Amino acid sequence: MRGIEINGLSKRFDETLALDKVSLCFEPERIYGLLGRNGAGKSTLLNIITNRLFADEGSVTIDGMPALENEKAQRLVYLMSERDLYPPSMRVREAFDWSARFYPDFDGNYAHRAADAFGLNVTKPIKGLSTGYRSIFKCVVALSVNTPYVLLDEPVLGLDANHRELFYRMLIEKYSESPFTCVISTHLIEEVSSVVEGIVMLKQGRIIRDEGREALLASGYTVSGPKALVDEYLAGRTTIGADELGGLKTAYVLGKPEGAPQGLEIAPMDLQRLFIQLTNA
Amino acid sequence: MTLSVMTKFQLRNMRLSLLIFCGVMLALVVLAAVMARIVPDTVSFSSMEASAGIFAFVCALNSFKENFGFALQNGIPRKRLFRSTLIMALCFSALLCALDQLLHLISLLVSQGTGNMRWFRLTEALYDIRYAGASQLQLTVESIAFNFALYTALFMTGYMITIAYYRMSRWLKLTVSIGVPALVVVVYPLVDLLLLQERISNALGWMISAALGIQAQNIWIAVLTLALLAAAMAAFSWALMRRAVIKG
Repeated sequence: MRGIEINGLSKRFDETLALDKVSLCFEPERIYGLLGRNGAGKSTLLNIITNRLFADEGSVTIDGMPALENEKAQRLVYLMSERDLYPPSMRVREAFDWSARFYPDFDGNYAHRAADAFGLNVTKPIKGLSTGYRSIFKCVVALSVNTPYVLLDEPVLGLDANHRELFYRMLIEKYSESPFTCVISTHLIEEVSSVVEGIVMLKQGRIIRDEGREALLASGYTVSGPKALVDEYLAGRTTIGADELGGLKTAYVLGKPEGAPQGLEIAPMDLQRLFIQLTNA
Repeated sequence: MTLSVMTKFQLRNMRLSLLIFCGVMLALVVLAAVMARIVPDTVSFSSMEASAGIFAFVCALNSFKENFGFALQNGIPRKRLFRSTLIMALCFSALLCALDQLLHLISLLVSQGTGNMRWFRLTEALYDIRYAGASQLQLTVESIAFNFALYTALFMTGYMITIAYYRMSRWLKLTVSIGVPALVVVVYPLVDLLLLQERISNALGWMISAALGIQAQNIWIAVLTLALLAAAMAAFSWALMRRAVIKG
């Protein structure tokens, strides 16, 4: 397996450049977080990989095969998107049956067990499901298809906290049993930060970070204390953002923390904070 | 294997509509039979194939968006979807032809019982001279060929129209939805009647008559024309589908 390779991908919608020469590789058997602000190009990227949109430039290969209009390549990947592409009148259990016909490795028993675990009524038509249960239905299918590459675009949209925890647990269990590549595109950064191994950050159609979670988190830190002291400390360092409140200042710094003078506090930056600062900068 | 799965899925979507249509047509035959018993005169109905043709057209208008989304959701490329649609269109036309024959058989059985019910095929109406002395076998075989070509051509025309609409921007849809009916219902009659003394209508009538072999009383010209029309609509459909994308 060679992963999903994306080379020089660009896509424009009228005047908006959604993707600007994006190149990256989703390696086999890793869980990635695909992060970006609204309109950053995450969904566009996932839709191009899965042949739902056409790129203006560049190419996508899945295990070395061109992804565009290639059934063999598309058989290896499943996208759970925000958009509902299942017939609204179709019942959940029918959707499971049809998925099994299109994806030979689809585990129907697992799908029904997962549906039970979430409390999803499989006799209901898809149009009769709430927003949360529609997401659950799509998550269940995504966890059951057993393709080498599973792309999840906002998988926990509308899910309550209990269901979100259940979903992440099931994802990890599934991954532990039989590793696969999972790309999770989400705005709930802190929730996925403990699940993902690799992080890809998009900003205005470009990749600003593409590295392992640990390496990314180690690439920055926060320093806080009295404003004057902080400003003195920051001289010659790369700051990506700062917050001030009264006479106190918190700065977000790239690089390794060095010995800070007394009066200043050094702390690791969490992923969400790092993401906010990098995408604001 | 995925070709047949996609074809099965598309036929599954037509299932309910087809059953309702069958029910309505059977109800019409039963109604005609009842009327034949009540009224002293001969009850006849003709050209029921036109209803089936309209039904095929309307089914096609509703058969793209949902199937397209479902196909892409399940990793089916556009080329395979198109091929499965062609197969589905042929199966659908064959089913409608089978329904025609069934209804005709029922009407024959009923008219044997009542004696005053008559079912005229569309082909008998269009090619009356050809079938004046022809055998039932010739009429049946040629009618099946004609109807099959007609339903397929109408289906592919409807399919092409629905893909064209899907690909259009909002403003283009509005322009076409208002402009085309205005052109056909208002502009064309005014121009043709008041300015051209019905020359366009006469020319169109002559062309259709020639294309369907009515002048020559040759049904096989119609079969060929309709087959070519179906092929052309299929080609346009593919040209539109190959660059269609999921919207929103």
